[in-house]
Amino acid sequence: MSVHDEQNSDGGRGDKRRGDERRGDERRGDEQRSDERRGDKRRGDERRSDERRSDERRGDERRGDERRGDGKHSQHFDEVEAARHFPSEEEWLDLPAPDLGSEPASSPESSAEAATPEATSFADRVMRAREEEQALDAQLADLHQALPNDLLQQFTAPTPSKSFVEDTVATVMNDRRNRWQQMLSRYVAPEPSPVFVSRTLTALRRGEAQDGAQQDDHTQTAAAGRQAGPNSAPHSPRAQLPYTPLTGKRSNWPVFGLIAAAAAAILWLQLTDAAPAPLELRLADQASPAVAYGNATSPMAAILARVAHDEEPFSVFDAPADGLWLVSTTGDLR
Amino acid sequence: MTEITTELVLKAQGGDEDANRAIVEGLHRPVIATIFRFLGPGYRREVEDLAQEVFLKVFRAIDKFDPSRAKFTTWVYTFVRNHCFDVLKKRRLKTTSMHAVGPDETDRDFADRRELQPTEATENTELGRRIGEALATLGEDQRMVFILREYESLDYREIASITGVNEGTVKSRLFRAKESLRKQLAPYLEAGA
Repeated sequence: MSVHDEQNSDGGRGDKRRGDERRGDERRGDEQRSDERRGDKRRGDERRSDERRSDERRGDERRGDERRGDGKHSQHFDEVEAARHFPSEEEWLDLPAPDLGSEPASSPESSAEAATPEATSFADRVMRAREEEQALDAQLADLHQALPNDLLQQFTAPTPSKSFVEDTVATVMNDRRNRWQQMLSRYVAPEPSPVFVSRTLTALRRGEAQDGAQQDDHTQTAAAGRQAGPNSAPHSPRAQLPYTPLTGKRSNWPVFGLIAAAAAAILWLQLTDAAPAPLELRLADQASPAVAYGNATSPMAAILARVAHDEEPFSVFDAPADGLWLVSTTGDLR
Repeated sequence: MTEITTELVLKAQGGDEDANRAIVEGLHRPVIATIFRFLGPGYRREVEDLAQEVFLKVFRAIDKFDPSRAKFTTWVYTFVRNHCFDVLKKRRLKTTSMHAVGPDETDRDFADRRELQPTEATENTELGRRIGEALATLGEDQRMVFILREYESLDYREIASITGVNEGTVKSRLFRAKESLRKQLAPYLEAGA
């Protein structure tokens, strides 16, 4: 018999006994039962939070008393000290009820003698919650009889395939191996290939030999040196490519010259316009506004100038745009 | 079912292949059965793949398992439960736009509608198929509690540990699940009686 079967049989006997006791007088409606259960669950949560708050308050009060009485404000919380101050089994029954805010706090003398309203209501809540739990157990027992296990087992699960275990174990081991490799690869540097090593050594040796020499025929010299080298790779595709060995200092003047030319070109393009403005616009920009109307082709300019002068006799006519249309012969400037 | 001892688990934590095989051998039937019953016959083809994913997750996290704090089977069932819920969540994200939410369907998983459709031939009898359909109408939380209690024979404390709620809530969900199933299967229960 497995552990689970033992547990089920024990729970079943307990449920049956409780069901026999309660069945006669606890046939309530489903809705009423569920409502009460919900309310009691809420009250149970409130009860648990109240107990937690009172415990915390008791701990705070104890620590505050220690601090005030001893004056050791910097004393760290000591678990041994806290355990030492926990009330003994003889004392805890006489402990005063905690102050729960709105509810009246009982005095140490009366708490042991008479049941206070808060204690009665608390006890009632606990007993009601217990009764609800027992009722729920009874209902579950009833439903267990209505839905027996042999009926539910008619909904069978598929038989696993024969290779499932082996496939799964292989997948698990591969996954474990891959994860280890990924972890290790972060800390292991890759080994350089032999080709890379030989090419690097050859280049270093060649660079030392040609240091300070003239660069007349770099391609032939480099190819001859590469082919004749003991560590060269004759079949390497890169050996067939012509290349100029980089010996000595490279001159940076061509680069600077290109950069300067590009900057000059950009500056010139910015400063010069792509297309010249129309003649009228150019004349309008250059001509003084005061004589702009003198170049007009109609008497309208003089009239408008007079009107402007009458309206503002002391204003200085300095807006060149006012004279543009006066200068224009067609009325619109292109 | 092979008993999963603490020594076996410690060997598996060390990467022992035989210990891994013994654990898979001992737990693959209940894992597959739980996944199948929770997700429904519509997932018949994928149930072994899903079970393999569960075992992968178990063995990836097996180093963190503390034998002194929980039973190994309870710990594995937690992975089963979480993986089933993840599958449903992913399917729901794909099908949410396709199904309208009715006023009485707040507690139903829309992806389970596929189980109500005609499925290929299974090993189940007519009553078995009807039980599967009735299970699919339950809410996810109620369904999981019902399967763990009635099919896997776990006690309330273990189920509470797996689902992350207290024992009172477990009993309440189980009661609602059984009540709903009893109403749906009433014709079959009367015929059987």
